[in-house]
Amino acid sequence: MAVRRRPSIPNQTAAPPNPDPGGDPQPPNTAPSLDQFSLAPPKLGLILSVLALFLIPFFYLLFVHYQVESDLRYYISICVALSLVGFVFTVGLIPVAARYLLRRNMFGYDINKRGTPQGEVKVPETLGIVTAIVFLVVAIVLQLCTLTADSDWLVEYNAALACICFMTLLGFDDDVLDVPWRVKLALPFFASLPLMMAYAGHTSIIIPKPLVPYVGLSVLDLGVIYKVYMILLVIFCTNSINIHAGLNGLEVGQTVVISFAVLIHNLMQIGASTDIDYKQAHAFSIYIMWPLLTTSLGLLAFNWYPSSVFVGDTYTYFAGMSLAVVGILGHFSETLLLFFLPQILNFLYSCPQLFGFVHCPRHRLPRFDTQTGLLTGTNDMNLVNLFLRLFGRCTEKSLCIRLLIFQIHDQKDNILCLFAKPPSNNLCCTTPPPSPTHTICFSLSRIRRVLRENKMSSVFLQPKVSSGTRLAGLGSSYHSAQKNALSGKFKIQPPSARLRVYCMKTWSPINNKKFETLSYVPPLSEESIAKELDYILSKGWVPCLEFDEVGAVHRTNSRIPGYYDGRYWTLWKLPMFGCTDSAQVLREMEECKNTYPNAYIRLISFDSNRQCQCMSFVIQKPSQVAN
Amino acid sequence: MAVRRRPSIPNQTAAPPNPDPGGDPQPPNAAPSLDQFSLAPPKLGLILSVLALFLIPFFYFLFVHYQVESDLRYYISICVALSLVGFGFTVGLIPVAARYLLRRNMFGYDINKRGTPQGEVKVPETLGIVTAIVFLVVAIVLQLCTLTADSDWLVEYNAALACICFMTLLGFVDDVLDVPWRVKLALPFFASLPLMMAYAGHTSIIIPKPLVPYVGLSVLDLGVIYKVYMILLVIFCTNSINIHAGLNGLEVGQTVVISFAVLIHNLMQIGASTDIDYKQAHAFSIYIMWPLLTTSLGLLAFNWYPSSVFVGDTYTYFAGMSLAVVGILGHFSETLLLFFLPQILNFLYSCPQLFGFVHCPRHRLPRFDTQTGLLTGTNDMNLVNLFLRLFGRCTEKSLCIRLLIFQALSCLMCFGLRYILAGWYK
Repeated sequence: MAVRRRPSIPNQTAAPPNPDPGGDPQPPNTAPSLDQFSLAPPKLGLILSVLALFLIPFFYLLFVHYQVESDLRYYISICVALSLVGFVFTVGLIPVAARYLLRRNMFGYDINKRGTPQGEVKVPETLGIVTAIVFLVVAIVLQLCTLTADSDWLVEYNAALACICFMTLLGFDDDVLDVPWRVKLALPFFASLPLMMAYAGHTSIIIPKPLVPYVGLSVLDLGVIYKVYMILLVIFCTNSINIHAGLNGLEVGQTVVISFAVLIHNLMQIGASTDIDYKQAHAFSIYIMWPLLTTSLGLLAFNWYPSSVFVGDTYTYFAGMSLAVVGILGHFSETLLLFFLPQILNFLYSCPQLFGFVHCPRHRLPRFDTQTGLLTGTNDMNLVNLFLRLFGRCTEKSLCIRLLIFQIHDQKDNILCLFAKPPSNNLCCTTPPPSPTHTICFSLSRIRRVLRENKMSSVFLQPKVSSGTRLAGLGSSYHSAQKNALSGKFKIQPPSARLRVYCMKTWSPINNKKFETLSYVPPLSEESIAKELDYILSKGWVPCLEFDEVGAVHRTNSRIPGYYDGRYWTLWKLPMFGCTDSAQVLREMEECKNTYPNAYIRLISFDSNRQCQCMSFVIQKPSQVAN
Repeated sequence: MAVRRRPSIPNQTAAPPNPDPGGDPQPPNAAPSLDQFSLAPPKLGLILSVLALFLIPFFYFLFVHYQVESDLRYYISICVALSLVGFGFTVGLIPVAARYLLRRNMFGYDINKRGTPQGEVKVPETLGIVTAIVFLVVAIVLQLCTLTADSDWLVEYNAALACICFMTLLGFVDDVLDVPWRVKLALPFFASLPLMMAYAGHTSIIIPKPLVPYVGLSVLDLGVIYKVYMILLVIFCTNSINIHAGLNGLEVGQTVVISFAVLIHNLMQIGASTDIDYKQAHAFSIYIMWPLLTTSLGLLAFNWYPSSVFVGDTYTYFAGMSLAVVGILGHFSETLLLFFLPQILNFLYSCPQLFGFVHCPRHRLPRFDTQTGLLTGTNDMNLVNLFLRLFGRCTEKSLCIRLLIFQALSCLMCFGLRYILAGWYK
């Protein structure tokens, strides 16, 4: 489905520009034509201004508009900086790689310029491989910078790398060998399997409110079917970019637009959420999307009209897989599908030809008029031709720009409605009436967020649904979810909850004794003790330290009922009456520990009003006792 | 360093067998010569007997000799079964891929048969890509079968897949584009980084007991230096197989021998240990090594003397990376280096030529005598020529067999060394 004409394709009817297109009888690396070969300079002015256009709102949102943790800001800045380095490398490496590719006869002719002098230039193909390799190197280096060796996200990151890399390998294979269609469809399935293994999120969907009476459930756990949906998503994403192609710069342009939209979406989710896991998921997406955006821009500098390089299936597969991976592992696959709206329309419109109900030619491209330089739409069923038929003839460049504007418009719709989301927990929407797409998008993320907050805090705030908004139905679904959650009819898996279970060894029975509740958790750190102390002091209680060598009750002195030895431990100095600073208590604790390193030490607190002990926990055990 | 001569290399002096080697002016998918193209049948008899030779002792060790947990036995059996399916797919797909590769002019001529009719056959190249893709698919399916979604080994498994896949991609790019040397050395470094992130093991080495009085320590924690050592190990493994090449079946043969040795080593460690983590590490290695062994055997069926396909840098990089990955993530990199003894010797002996102290020709191959069909050693410094000079002239096939026997002997020696030094060294 790519835009180029292979020099060796037999069914071309126009006169081949080169009398012997298939081969290059001279030894290529001494051919004078290749030594003189120089690529048209990249359109750096255009690309850099686009890049600035992306960077400014991104950094505004990151540093000014949203309250983001400083370390997350730091990591995201590192990511952007490394991605810009990746941009420079892409721009620098493409001319080098183009020379190698031409030497191996990997070039095509631009069909949309057939008949003009530009149509006879050998355009090197498969330059997507440079983008992909630079992307992978940047992503690997970023992995070193942003993750620690024991991070939970290492599985996801490595799975993402494996998937993207495998897909790139298959795309490059396809470009080199022209693999048949059937194999092309099957292999993304295998490439997506590591992703399925690494996916640890929810597998349930929320039934829209109007359908609940018919279905009988408001949340449906799909289980394995959800995984099938994800595999289909991967296959769709990888192929849809490949189908929506055919103009200079369209493949790369749409990827750039989608990835920027994903970045803004991630940033808004990070800014709006307080759940650390949820933020991590979106930060992960940012770490993958920035390198994709900048390396794609590097390629776009050469691929923008008039193209001096072609991207090949390598690029479309690689870009589609990267987007699918972040959508799945970042848990926002529904939103991603909305970003892919033009691709979905194109796919649906293309279906009759793709599945053979209508004759499908090798290239479904518009007709090029040599005199005027304009394109005319043919009857082939894809978005490119549809636009030409709807909006009239135009040049290739303006057609590409129109299609990208359509893509941006779709994204803007989604982004705007997300943007309108108020920071507080109410559901009123004050922006202009949302479009249908917009409502779905809004409601999905909204419901998920509300449900998650319900689950986490168990505090149900009354939603303030303003009358007259189109989100009234949403409010009632919120109510029903709330009711169901209260009655315990179903268990909602919060979207960001990790199904991975981390169990802690709470208490070792060997050579150990039970004390109070806190003895079932690992020893308290200085910070935790200080927090407990702050609580004690805020209540106006009196802290006090006690120590004992045995540390447990025993009945060695008497067997009479109610008699126990060791209930009272020795007091360390006097109780700290009138103490207001936890640091003083901590100092006493240190002194006590140094004096009796082999004793049990506990901290207790007295309430002088109620005349009783309110708190007690062990702060030191003898060193030979297991923790 | 590969054995083939590219049809478009200008400095060939022999008459090119095809007057127009660079291009194929007819539209390839209608070319009659390609429709008639058929690969020589695979040497399945030889390969299947070798496979049986591997399977019998492996299963003897697994089921009879060692007390292994039944679920581990079950998983390893699944792994072997899937790998055998992979073998079938490799053998079936290679003729198909060979046709596609020939259509895209990716073929070479066999230099060691120059002057005979066999030297004029177009041999499709870069068939390692089939092996690599089948391997990756089998490994991914195995991941589904052997690991649960909350397994600790998921990080390692995915890192291994990412590394092997990236290295295969680079190898294939190299085969297609002929990337220069400097880039070739740098890129395995990046490919090895996910491995470093996933490596969660010890970074300390045990000082051999006789040296303890001199060093003053019995365990030395190397920290970052250990990671540097691992990166160097990856770069060495990926390139050493590529350097120790030049005969039909040598690249694949040495990989098969080493991976079988690794498998036996893993099984012995699993049988001898009681530590569950240690067993898991070696089981992980088995899950990677069996697909490597069987898919390589599938390739060897076509690549064994006389070769009907060439493997390309794709294969050597892929195989080297797979071995390095299991060595590192299975925590037995020192043992792996002992298995690589012939490659180390070859590298050390090649150093003067590789680093430019002595003139290095494009191919450091022996001279082929058209009359007798025997190879004569030249003065180039590598193991292939050294063997010819030491043990006299012989045919390509017997030379390859001798080198593989040397590889097997050094693996045996490694087992012996471990057995002898077990108490004394550690």
